Amino acid sequence: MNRDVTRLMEHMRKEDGYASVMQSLERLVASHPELCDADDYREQLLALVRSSRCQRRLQNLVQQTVLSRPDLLYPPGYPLEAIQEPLDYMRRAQRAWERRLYKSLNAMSAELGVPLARLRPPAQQQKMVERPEEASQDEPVELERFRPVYAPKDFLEVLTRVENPNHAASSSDFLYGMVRLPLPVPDLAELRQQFEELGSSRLQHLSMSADLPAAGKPHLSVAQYREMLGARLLELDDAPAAREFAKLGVPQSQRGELWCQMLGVRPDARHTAQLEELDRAVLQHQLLADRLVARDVQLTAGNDDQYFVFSELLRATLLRFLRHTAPLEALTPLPGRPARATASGAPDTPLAYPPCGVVPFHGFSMYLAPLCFVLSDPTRLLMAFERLYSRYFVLLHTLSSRPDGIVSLSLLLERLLREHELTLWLHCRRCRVQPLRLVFRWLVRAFSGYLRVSQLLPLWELVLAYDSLRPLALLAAAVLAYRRASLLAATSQQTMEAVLADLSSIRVLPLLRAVLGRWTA
Amino acid sequence: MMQPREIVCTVDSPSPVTDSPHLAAGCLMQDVTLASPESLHEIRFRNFYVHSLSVWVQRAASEDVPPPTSAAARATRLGPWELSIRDRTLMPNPLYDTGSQDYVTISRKQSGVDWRGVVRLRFVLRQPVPHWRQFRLEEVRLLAPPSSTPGGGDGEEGPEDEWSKLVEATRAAVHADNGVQVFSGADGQIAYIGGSYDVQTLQLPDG
Repeated sequence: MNRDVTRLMEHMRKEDGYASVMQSLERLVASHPELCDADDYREQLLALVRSSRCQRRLQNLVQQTVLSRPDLLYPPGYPLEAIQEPLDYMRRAQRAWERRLYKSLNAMSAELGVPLARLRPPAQQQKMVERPEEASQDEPVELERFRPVYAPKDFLEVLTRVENPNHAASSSDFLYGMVRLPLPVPDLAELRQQFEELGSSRLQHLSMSADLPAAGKPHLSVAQYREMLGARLLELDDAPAAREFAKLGVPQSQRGELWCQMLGVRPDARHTAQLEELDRAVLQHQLLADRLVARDVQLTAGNDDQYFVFSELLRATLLRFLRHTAPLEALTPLPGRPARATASGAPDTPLAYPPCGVVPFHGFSMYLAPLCFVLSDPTRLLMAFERLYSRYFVLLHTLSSRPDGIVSLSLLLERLLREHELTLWLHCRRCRVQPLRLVFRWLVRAFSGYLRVSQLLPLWELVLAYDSLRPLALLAAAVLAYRRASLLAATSQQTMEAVLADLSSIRVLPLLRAVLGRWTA
Repeated sequence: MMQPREIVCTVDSPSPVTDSPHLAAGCLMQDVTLASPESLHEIRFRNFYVHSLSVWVQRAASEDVPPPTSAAARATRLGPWELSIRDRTLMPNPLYDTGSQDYVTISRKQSGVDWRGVVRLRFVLRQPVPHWRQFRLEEVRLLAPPSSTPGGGDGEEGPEDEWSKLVEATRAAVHADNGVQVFSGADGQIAYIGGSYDVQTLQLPDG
C-alpha cells in the first residue's frame, strides 16, 4: 500500500494544480497555529482538511492523476510495454503502422528538400515578430506541396488487416464484419446500464428539454434550472460532481469552466509563462510538421463555414502544441510510440519528433476546432486540448485493445448493427458494402466537421461526462438506423455515402435516446 | 530496494494431461523442476491464453509434509503432490482476448500449502474455448524470499526511465537558449551549425 501511495505522490507532484493545492494546505495550517502544540497533530490535521475545501481539491488532484496515468493501476515493475498494449499482435501492428508513417515522413522531407526540423534564420524570426500576418500569408502556394501523411481511410485498411495469429476463427464468426478480432464489446443491455441517464426518458437532458418546465421546480425552465445548478457546481469545484452534472447537459455559458473542471485544467502563472516559452520555440525552430498542420487547417477547418474564423488561432495553438513535451509525457502509458530522431551535433541523444510525440494527420486540426467555441483564453485552450487529446482522441487513431480504442469502437458499431439493424446489415452485405467503411471517418474525427457545432459539443460533453468514447460508436450506429430507409434504397457504396454525406440536420441527444430506448436487448 | 533472488529451474513445455485426446481437450499441464528444494516467495509468469490455472507443488519429504502413499514414491524422499492454488482465473472471459497475455504474480500468501522445500511445480492449464490455437505459460520465474542483507538497486534503467529521458532531452532541445554557431563560408554563405533541434531523419522502429 505504501509503495502505491509513493508512486501516486510522485506523479501527483507533476500534475498541474499540485502547487496550488499545496499552497492552500499550507495556508490552512498556517491559519490554525494551535495545531502545532496539539498532541494528536495528525488526527487534528486530517479533521481540519476534511472540513475545508482542501479535501475536495485533493480528491480532484488524485482523480486527475489516476485518470492521466492509468499505469498507476498496475503493480510496480509491470513492464511498460505491456501497460501500453498487453497484446503482442496489436503492438506489432501499431509498430508496423508507425514504421510506415515515419518512413513516409522521411520520404516527404527528402523529396521536398525540407528538413524535419531546423533552426529558423534570424531574419525570418525577425519578420515573424514584426509582421506575423505576412509570415503566414506567403505560405499558401508552398503549402500545396505538402500532402497529408495519412487519412482515416488509410488507417482503416491497416486496422482491418490486423489478425490474432492464435485465433482460429471459423468462417461464421463476425458475420461479414471488417474487424475480425476477439475483443470484448458491450451489448445493448450493458450500454443501457453504462449510459443510464442518457437512455432514461424520465431524465430531462438540456439539449432536448431546454424550454420545458423543470421536474421538481415547475416555475423554472430546464435551462434556467440547469444554469442555477451549474453555478453552484462551479463554486464547488468538484470534478466527479461536474461529470454527473454534465451527463444531462451543460449550459453553453458554463461549458468552458465545467469542461476545465472535468479535465483538471487549472492554469496559473506558470502556464502563462510556458505559453510564452512555446511561442519563442515556434520562432526559434521550424518543423516540417508545422507545414502539415498549416495544410491541414487550410484543407479542413479553413474550409468549414463554422470554423474558418478560427484558422489563425488553430494554427497558432497547434504550432505551440507541436513543441510542447507535456503531451509526450502524458502518452507514456498509451499505445503509440513517438518517432525518434537525433539532432545535429548530438547524435547520441534520442529526441522525439515532433516534440509533442504526435504526427498530425489529415483532419487533426478538427480535434481542436470545436474547442474554440468553448474556450477563448489561449492558455486554457491549449491545456484543455492537450488533456482531451491525450485522454481520448489519441485512442481514435492508434491501434490498441483498449475498450475505448478505435478497434473496439469499430467492433461495437458492427455488433450493434448486426444485432439491432439486421435488415440493413444484410442489405449492405448483399450490396457488398461494409457499414464500417461508411462511418469510419466520423469515428476517427469524433464527428468533428460532420455535425453542427451545437450538436457536436453536447456529444463531446457525453464523452467527458461518461469518460468513454462509446457514445461515438452508438451515434454512428444510430445515424445509420435513422437513415435506414434511404440506405435500403441505395445499392452501391457511392449512393450510400451520398445518403450519409450531410449530417447537419442530425440531433444527437434525441437520436441516442431513441436507439437506447427502441432497440430491444 | 532488495531484489529477490531468482531460483534456477527447468520449465517444460505444456503436455496433455492424459493420452486420450478427448479427455485432454482444453487441459494441459506444464511442469517446473527445481535443481534443489527451495523456499518460494513468488511465482511470476506471462500468460498466453490460459483461462484458469491450478498449481500443484511437490515438496521434499520432511516432518511437515504428509508422507506419500506408495513405497516407490517414499523411496524418492519426495512428498505427494499438494494443491497449492485452485482455479485461479487469468482470463475473465475465455472467449475474448482480455487478460490473455498479462503478466501475473502469485505470492506465497495466496497458496494453501507452505512453499518451503519445493522441488517440483505442476501448472494445470485450462482453456475451454477451442478457437485458441495454443495456450501455455511463458517466462516462468520462481523467486526466493528477499534476503535480509540489503542489496543495491538493480542498476538497470527501466523503460519508464528511458521515456522520461526522452521527454527531458526533447524539452531541453526545443527550449534551449540559442547556442548555435554561425559559420560564414568563403563564398559568403551563412550556415548554421549545431542547432538544438535540427533533425534530418527519423529513426524507424523495428518492423
